[in-house]
Amino acid sequence: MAGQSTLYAMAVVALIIGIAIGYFAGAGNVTTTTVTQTQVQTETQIQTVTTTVVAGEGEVVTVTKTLPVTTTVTQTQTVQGQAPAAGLSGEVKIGVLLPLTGDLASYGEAARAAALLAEQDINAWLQAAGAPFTVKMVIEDTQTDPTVAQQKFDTLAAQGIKFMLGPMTSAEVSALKERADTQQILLISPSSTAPQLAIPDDFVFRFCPTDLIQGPAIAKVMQADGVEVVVALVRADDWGRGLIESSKEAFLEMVPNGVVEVIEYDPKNPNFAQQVAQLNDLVTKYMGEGKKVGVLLISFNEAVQVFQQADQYDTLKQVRWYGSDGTALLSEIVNDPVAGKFAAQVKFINPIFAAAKSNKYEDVNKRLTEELGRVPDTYAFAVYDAAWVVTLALMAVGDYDSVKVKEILPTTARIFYGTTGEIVLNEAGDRAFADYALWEVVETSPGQYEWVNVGMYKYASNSIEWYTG
Amino acid sequence: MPIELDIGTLAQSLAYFIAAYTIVTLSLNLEAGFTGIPNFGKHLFVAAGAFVVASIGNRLSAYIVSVLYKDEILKLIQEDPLLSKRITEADIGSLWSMYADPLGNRDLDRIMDKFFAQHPELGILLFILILILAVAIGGLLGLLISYPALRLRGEYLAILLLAAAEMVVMAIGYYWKPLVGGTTGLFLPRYLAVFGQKVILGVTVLLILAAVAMYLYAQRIANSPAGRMMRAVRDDELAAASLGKDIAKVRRDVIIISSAMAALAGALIAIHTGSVVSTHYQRFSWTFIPWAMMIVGGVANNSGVVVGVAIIMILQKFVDIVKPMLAPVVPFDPVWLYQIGLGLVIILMLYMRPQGIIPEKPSRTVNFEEIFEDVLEDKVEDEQAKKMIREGRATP
Amino acid sequence: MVLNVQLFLDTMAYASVLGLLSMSLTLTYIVSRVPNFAHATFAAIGSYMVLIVVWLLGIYKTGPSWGVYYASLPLSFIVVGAVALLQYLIVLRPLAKKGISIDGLMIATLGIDIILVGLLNISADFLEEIFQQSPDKDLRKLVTYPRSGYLSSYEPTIMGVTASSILGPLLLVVSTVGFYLFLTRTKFGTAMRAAIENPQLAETLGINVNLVYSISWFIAGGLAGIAGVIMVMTTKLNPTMGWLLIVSVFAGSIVGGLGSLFWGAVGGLLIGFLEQFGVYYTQIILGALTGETVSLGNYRQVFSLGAIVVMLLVAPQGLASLNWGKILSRLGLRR
Repeated sequence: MAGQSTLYAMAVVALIIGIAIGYFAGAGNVTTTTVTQTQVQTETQIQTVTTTVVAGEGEVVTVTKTLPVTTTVTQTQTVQGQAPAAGLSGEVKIGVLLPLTGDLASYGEAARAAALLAEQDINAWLQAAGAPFTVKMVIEDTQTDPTVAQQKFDTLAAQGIKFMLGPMTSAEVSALKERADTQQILLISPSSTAPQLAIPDDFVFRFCPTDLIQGPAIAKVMQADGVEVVVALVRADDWGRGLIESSKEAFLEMVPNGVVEVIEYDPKNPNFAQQVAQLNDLVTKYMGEGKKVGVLLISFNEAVQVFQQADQYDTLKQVRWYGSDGTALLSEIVNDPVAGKFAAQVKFINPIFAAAKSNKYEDVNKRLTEELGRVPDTYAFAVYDAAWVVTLALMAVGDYDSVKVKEILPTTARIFYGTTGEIVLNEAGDRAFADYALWEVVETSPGQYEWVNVGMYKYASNSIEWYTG
Repeated sequence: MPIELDIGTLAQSLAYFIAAYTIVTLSLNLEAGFTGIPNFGKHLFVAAGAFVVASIGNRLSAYIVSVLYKDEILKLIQEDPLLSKRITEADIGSLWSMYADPLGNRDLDRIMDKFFAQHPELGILLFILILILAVAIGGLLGLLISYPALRLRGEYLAILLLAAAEMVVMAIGYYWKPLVGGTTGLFLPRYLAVFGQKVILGVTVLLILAAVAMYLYAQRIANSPAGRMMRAVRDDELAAASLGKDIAKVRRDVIIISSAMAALAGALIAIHTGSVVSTHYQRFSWTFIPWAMMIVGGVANNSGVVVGVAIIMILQKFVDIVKPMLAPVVPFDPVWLYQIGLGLVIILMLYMRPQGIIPEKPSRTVNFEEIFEDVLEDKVEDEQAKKMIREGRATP
Repeated sequence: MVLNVQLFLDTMAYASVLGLLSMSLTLTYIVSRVPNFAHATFAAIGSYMVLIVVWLLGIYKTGPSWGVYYASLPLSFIVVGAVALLQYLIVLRPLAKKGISIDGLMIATLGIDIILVGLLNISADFLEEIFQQSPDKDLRKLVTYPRSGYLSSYEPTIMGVTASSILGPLLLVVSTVGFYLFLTRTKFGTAMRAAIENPQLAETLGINVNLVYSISWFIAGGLAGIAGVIMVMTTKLNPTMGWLLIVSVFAGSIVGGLGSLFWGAVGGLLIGFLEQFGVYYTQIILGALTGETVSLGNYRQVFSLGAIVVMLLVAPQGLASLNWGKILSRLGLRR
């Protein structure tokens, strides 16, 4: 007995199959062109050269230099693409995939504000140039859930969007990579740092430096202070784990007999009592051995909780604390009386990729701060820059064509000076190098704490330039 | 603001999600709807399929390929300027173990993709092998879970399954690297190179076929004597047992079958995505949403499930697309509309039409519950007393 | 490092939050027979009441003050109690009356949870808007990141120890003992026990069962609200903060057996200590065995989830069901 309900179901199933067949049929009509392209692959390798110089009487100075060595491989590749569409006109859409709800909502919100600001600035510029088109940001919430990210990606793709800014986490990027590559949709993530997503010739670009660059910066700061033992408290996600790995490697290279101890915490951790207790045990142990100990905190705004809990331990106030771009410039650290006091006491110092204090940076920073009511994080600036680079590449190509834009995106980025400074992309489409500004929490007047830029880590020379005064 | 839509892309996306959720929700319905096993840990079984593909499948295929086609693999590595620096001839024998390391996974993925592009037939074979493996291990996991499931009832079982799922997927799967690469996950080789650039479409079609097959299978179970027995176990365990039915066996079989179904869906979702990371299998997306779909569509009705899945997915796409237009109208951030709306839909649905859009088909035997209700209506006046009798807290 | 006193104090605050939540969750379960997934979000609402108190009483300007507790404890109790009561009256009772199965009711509480979190987010945005547009510089600092903030700087200390470490356990003991006295020594308490244990008989004795159930929900919500006040002193204020605790709260109730308020409180406390001290000492022991530093902090949830799984497999009725006299005499502790 085939009931009424079975009929319903059959109808739905038939609908799905019909849609699928329809798509096949439709796909057959799209003219595909074969473009033969010559593609240049560049592999940049960092070589460390150590020279020993005898300066004066018996004084030996070791100079370590890092040189990028570039190999260029030329490959001929055949790329299947859809027939070029008509030139740019009307509203040109750029998709934006951000975590507006969920764990990382705070970063998503700042990035959204940056995308909207970029839209405004770009359109003002386009209008002044009399360009026949305007850009439009179409923003979707991924909830930091890869399943949702796929749904939202599809929604954007269905609107014919070929360029998307985001998503923010590496887990989401890898869930979207297959879609992006096969549907030829360009993804530019402002914040994914996982090394295994460094894949040449794919449709994923990343406008933040990978951990392989920040790690040495952190290590250098610690080495400069003469730290022998690093006790690290690390957020156990792809970002934190990647960063501690590269920092550890770089530190042990600089300080061969150094020690790095790692304590991990769950990003969904409500309370840090246990981790801080373990941290205290380790610091006490190594201080007892007469070593110079530094605490490395790789976290986001949980740092405030960590400081509040660490404030109860006297030993933890006797060592210097080091941070990362996850905590640099966080206003809640300086706004919280307990955390601010603690951070100033332990001279909490953080590198964040600069954002080279240019006028452009100051201007965008000011407007974003007004919009958000707080200092934006660097990822927001990366979103702002990415929007501009995509627009410039689109104009150069003169077509809404992701394959062509993908080819010229690295060179376009290279000639563009962004709020985050020079944008040099490596062969994998990731930021090749960046300088790091060093920010420290300082008590400016009694009970008032502020972030102060105390120095700059120069990637090219692997050295630190301290600002005096 | 006019919205232009590429119907092809939209349809392909909808077809994928509808097919995937149909399999998962059908399997949930077999357990929760037909047999009364409240599986609040469905995401564990979906994740199980994906985890098998990533952890066992990846290593197995790398091992088989590197043993059978050693020379070809070596040539592929040497041809690639990036790989030849990192992998030497000596590594070939232990290629499979590179999966434990994220960068190793990336490099291996590059080799395997190229290899399967040259040997699509081997890719298909391995794909089928891994799919069977995923389904088998899914079934085994069901068997394992069935032991506590036979002892515990109702909400205790629900919480146990939820806790076990969260533990395996979100704690161990997310942190323990050897399983599926930890926090960043693992890439999968492109087994189905036969589809070329249309691999996503190809897997979508496979998922649709699997969903249709699973629907027909679930229908067959529901209409068979076994299906009637399942409902008997759900409605009145004592009565079913007194009629000589082996309740334990019925419940165990249902859990095994539906776990295998969920694992099949998980494996296909993984192949479709091209990578596996444990956060992809969150409880919201793969337990809560299927429950919502089942409640909206029709509990203990396979056709209802399909309708429920389609309605929720289409509604979601619709909300996505009209949301930008609502932004100026609503006084708050419209991203909350979907969450609040979903919650309201579920509660209202439970209130107004608890049997779902397409209710369960009345069984052709005499319905004990109906007779009970009639008698109750007839003999007992007071509402409160009726409620208590229904809940078994008082006797008439 | 035999006993880390600071860790003990920090854990007391955290564990007593779990104790209060597990106890009140158990109360709702006893009354309605449905595990309420929205329960930890109740506590989050309580936490937001603290933010409102800090704002309206001007505590953000004056710094640490007992006023935080004096004002927010009663406010949270009443507001969250009302939310819980509404959930019972508007959603759960009508649904139960329609004969919806327990699975259906559980899904309904999940639905309520996402609605509450959505509404909390909207309210948080609204509050943030007010703070940001204020000319008062201190007020603008109160919530510095979207929908989140840290309020523990506003709580006072007692002899150098944060108040929550002392107040938390105190509130837990007071509410457990208070509940016990209320149930055994007052007329209404007796009526309540009767209504819960045998509703039909209670009804025939003229007890208004509906009223008793409603009051139970109100009290359970109120206790969750109080837990939220302590909770916000140990963690970050955020609309989804309840989701961070829900697993541990359920673990506490399950360990307690879901049948007794006292054991619910004990279960919550135990889980709190397991997550902090259990992890801490496991690390020390494994560290001593392997000779390396062992860090298990990220596997925190494995401990509480594991407790649920083990408890349900070994003793589904929880600690309450174990024959303690027998266990003690076996151990030679009692004759």
